[in-house]
Amino acid sequence: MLFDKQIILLQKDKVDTKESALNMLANHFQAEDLVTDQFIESVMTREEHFPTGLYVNHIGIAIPHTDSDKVKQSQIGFMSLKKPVHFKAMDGSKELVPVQLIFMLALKEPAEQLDILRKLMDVFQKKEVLTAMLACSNIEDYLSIIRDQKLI
Amino acid sequence: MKKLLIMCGTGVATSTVVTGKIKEWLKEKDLDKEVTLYQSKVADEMNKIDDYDAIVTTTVVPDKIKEKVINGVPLLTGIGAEQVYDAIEQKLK
Repeated sequence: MLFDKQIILLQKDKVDTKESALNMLANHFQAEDLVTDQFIESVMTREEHFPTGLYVNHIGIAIPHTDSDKVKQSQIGFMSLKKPVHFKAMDGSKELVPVQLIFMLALKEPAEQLDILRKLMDVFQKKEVLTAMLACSNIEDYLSIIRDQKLI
Repeated sequence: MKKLLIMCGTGVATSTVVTGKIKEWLKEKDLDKEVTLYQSKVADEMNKIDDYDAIVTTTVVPDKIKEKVINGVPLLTGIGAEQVYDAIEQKLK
């Protein structure tokens, strides 16, 4: 259910900043009427104050999201990038995180989605899965990875 | 009863996951009857942080409370998770 709109943008190039990456992803959420008009701006603002970059196993991940009142229907979108864009680190450390995997979270009732959220974050600890996500160039392959990880 | 606060920027994503993990850990340690968990966002807690015995955060916090919080990001990445649990246990003693 969290992946049923298939917001899956793979191996994007010509994306030079985190802002353009966030915009591109968020536009898909808006086109599917999953979020309110304030979602994009709210995600951007939040990312500045409470950044979501994670550097795990030499792969940079970001999980941009915002308050649930900007969300109409829960969904998780994905984008992989050929060249990393820089996000600030979630733990506030000075070094920027070169991000190539972005999971945009639109969450209406997070507690109900705990199971999926946990599985998703457990994936961050599996280097081979992250590497496969980075390498995958078609939607079917991506779906089969997340199916293997019991996300769908 | 000890009070343990878990907070992130919005209180919706990372703190939900971290709360789940800590809940299980407390059970394993047989501490779940002695600790009450609270989940919130930074902005709502700034003036109340002294109410808690331990605070775990998965986001950037203002400098003035930095000393009082435990960085919970390792619970998401798995790298250094044990040290986080140790630090929480110390605070709850």
